Amino acid sequence: MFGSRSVLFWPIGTGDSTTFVVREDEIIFQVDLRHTAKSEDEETDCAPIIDHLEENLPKVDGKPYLSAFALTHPDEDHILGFAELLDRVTIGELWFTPRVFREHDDDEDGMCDDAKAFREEAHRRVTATIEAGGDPGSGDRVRLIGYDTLLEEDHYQGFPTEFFSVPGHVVTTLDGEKFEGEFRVFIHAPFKQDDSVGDRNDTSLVMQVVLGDDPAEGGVLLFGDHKYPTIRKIFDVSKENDNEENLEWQILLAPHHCSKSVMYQDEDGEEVLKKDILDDFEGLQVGDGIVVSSSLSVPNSNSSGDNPPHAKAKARYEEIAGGGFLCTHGDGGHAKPLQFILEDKKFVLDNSSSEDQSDSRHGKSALAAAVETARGSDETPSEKVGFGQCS
Amino acid sequence: MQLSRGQSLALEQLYEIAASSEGTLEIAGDPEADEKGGFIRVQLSLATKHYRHPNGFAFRDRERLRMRIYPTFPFTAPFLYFSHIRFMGQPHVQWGSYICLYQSSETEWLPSDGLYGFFQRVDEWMAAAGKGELDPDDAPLHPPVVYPTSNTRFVFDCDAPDLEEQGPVWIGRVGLSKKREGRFDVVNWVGLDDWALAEQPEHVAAAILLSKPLPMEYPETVDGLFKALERNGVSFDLLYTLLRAFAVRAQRDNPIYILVGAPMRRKEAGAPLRHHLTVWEIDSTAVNALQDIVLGSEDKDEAITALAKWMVTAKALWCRVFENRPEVTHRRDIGSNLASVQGKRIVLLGCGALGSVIAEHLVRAGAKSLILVDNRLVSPGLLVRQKYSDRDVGFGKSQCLARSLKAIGLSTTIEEKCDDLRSGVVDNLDLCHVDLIINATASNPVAHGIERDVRRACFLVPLIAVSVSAAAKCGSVLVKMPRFSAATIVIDRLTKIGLVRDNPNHPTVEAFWPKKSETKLFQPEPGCSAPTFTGSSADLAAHAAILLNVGLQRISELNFDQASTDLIPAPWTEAASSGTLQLTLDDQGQSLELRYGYEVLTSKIAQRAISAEISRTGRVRSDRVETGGLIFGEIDEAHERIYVDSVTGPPPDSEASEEKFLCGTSGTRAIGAAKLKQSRGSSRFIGIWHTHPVSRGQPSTDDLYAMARLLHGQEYPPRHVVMLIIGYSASEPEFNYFLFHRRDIRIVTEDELSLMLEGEVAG
Repeated sequence: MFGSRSVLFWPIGTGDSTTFVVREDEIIFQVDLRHTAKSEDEETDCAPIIDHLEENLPKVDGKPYLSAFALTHPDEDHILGFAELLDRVTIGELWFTPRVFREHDDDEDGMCDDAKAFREEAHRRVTATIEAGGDPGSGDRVRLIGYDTLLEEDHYQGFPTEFFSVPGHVVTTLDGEKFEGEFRVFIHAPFKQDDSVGDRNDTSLVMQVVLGDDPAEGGVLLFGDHKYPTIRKIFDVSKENDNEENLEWQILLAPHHCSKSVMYQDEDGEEVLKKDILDDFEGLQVGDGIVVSSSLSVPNSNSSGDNPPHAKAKARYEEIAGGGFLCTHGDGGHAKPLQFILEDKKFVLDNSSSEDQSDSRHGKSALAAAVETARGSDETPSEKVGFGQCS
Repeated sequence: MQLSRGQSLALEQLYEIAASSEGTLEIAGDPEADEKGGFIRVQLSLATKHYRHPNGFAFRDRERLRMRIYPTFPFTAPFLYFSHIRFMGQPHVQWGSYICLYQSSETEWLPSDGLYGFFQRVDEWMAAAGKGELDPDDAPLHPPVVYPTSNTRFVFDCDAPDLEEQGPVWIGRVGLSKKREGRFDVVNWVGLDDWALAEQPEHVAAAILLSKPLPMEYPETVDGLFKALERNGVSFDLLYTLLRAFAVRAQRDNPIYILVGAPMRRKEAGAPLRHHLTVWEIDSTAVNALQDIVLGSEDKDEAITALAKWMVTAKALWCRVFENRPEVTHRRDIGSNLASVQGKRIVLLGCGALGSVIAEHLVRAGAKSLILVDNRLVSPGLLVRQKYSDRDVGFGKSQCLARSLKAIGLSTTIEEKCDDLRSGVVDNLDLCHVDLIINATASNPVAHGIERDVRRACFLVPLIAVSVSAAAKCGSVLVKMPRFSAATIVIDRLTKIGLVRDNPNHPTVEAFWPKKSETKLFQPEPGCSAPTFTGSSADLAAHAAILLNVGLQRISELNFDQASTDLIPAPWTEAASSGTLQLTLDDQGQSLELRYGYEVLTSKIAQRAISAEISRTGRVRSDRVETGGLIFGEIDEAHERIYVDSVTGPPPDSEASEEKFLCGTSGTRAIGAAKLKQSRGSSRFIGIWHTHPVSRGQPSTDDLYAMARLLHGQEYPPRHVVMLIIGYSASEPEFNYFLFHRRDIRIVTEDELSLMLEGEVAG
């Protein structure tokens, strides 16, 4: 499973769990996690991700070893099962963005246990790092992601800058080892608190992950749960700083599990399509980009107020993505991840992980079937119909 | 904007289809009105993932579309566009985004099916595009799209030079025929190597034939065209040299033209790629500048600036091209009966009501040559129904018709003659160079003339004769195939005998051979004109077209030694319900009468009746007993021909033995009268047949005596009589005919006979 340099998107319901194979069967980088009891049920098409990680990760000192784990934000659909993962797997390095926990400062109860476990582990590692006065070693390493003033805070004073990144930085190390030419992460967000727009989801960590050294080759864009305003701002800031190459993508993980809030905004009670963001996404895809929705199957339509995934968002992505739109549920094999293997600098879908889904009804194309239904049948009635004079 | 009823209907249908589509078709946003354009615009999003295949259009999972619905919907189809130009240059995508759904919306668009049919077509189009089958190898190729921007028109009649695929670029020139201001016809192609040798016409254009295709939509700018040509191997220097060479010989302030061909057309399945030809007009500004540069005028610098500006900023002017090259077009009459005359050399006799119409059909069908023969003049009364005009009055028909046919401008060589056809055609025409003769004279003298031709000359040309009945209610077309040994007089007579016998009451039979001559002769200019039939120009045009079609069809169906007749009622007459009558005749072979050399045509009916009687006698008495009977038919002294239509067996009072057959008379009068009536005057008593069971079929003394009795001993003796003797009838019957004229047998006294014999001995 981890025998080729690749990226895997797991079918774990509506939530994110993304695995990067940076070096075959050696360096694995996990972003977010959603492992539920449901995923242990073989009847469902959810993958028990921790089981897979435990089974397939390289073994170091007899224990499965994960090079690094990054959390975009501590919502349950991004962190569920972390405590168990920590228990079953050695995690060399944690990527910790304190900013994304700040929203919960006044709402401890609103935070799930796994988020608390993550924060606790992260804090432990921060302390260990400061105490070590440098590199605390694998298993205690933590990469702090924040803003310049973070290290002035009491808790982080003395934290070594080699493990500290701010938006605009490029990271090429994992668990203390440099992978230049093999691995490159550009940090886009979160912004400083004062600069943020929108609600709590807008604090997610945003990254471009490239399994190489040239961002213009296109990487995997991970926007967490961001919505239009922040994504707009990320594009604008990148354009201002002439940094657009760091938004070039071969694979776009549809933000917020294919939410229409990425390209539709409520303006004066009306839902307005923000074509600008779609144009930007379209313009920055490299080759035939693929949009992946890490969610349950996208329905054909939604009712007002439905949670993601949204049919409208899928439709818009389908219009811009040259390589198409894939959903972790439905487009991959049963309970298997969508795996894109890096071949000659291009991510290519491993066909054994997908199933051919033809969009047809009874051998007819869907459009032809729709026309037939709308046009109506000319069959004689199949049921008796009664008539009678007025009484 | 107030929606029209049609636009409301369209939206209703559109929302219905979208609602049934389970998300496949999404209406993105509310329809917008375009006040200026007068239409409503609807943004659509169509799931296209499943249409995608290797080698087809690179569809995304969904494609965004724009639809324009005009107020005249559903009587005009909506327009559909991609909302992007990613498919620019692909077949059936025009102006970069317009989806060319219908080859001909005039015939393919069904208003009553509205958007249902429209989206069904969209589905089919997307499926074909996805598979790359919009222009499959096994179908004709949709030519690329060039939007004419010049008012000059070019007609291409002759094929372009054959180029090897991937070969070098062909540079040359075409000769132009200037038909009128703004129209040139391309008449020939001259390669660079033959440039000096070939005669140079007054008007020429440069020609570049590329070996690789250009984009499906041709460049709109001069700059774009220069670049496209350069990509195809025509360097800037080469093009510049060509421009200068043609500019210097152009008149000041006149444009020049460059033909650009790219291998982007295919005529039909499996056919090789041919050049799609376009004509690029170099406007006079550029031509003047080129002239100034080449000739080194004082304004050279200014000219260079003007030329450079033209190259960078000017729009490419494309002339409208009318394709008629055989290599890329199909004739519109392909597969028709008329198509069979293409390339044929035809003689048309008679340029009247039928002939003048038929002549035009033959020219349009592509006959190689047409000789028009008519010695009559155009009179004013003919304008009612013949293809002449007032200016023709007083001139020869063939001459006037030739003039109007030449004005059609097709390739047929037309020759006119004013021969008198009553003496036939072989003396005036070389039949070795004729593929078909059509007799549209409806003239008996002409028919007789041709009949004589067939007797005396080698007449191996198919012949069609057309005519109409009085009042133009029925048409008749007779066909003689090359080896049928007689012409229309015979065919007409045999037809009459056959059809009158089998279909005595059919209206077409009645029209041509009425029981009584009730139809009055019509003389348009009483007292001084030949009688003719009545009928309008529409009647005659319809008959001419039908008879020509049927005649040509028969030629394609009949054996070389057959003939046929079709009698066809006009569809607008009562007779139409009875249908047409058709008769096919087999050649009866040449049988010669032994005394005068008359040709004898014995019908199969007569042959069978004789055989049956010989068998009957052999059965009931003995095959050595003679038998015989009466012969009915016609002796045609004009054409020296004997028709044996039917025979009887021995009348009841006949006597027969091994030595003698005495032909009785009982009931024969009645039979003769019946035959005459049944054949409407054509078949009468013409002689007697008998057998010589075991001897030669030569007249015996008894036979001669019988002839003498017949010609001289009857109450009403005939002028001439046929004696048919069937020799060796018991074993191998041989039919010998002998014609005796009354003058052949003279009654003399014994004295006279003695004197005659003495004289003979002395002589």
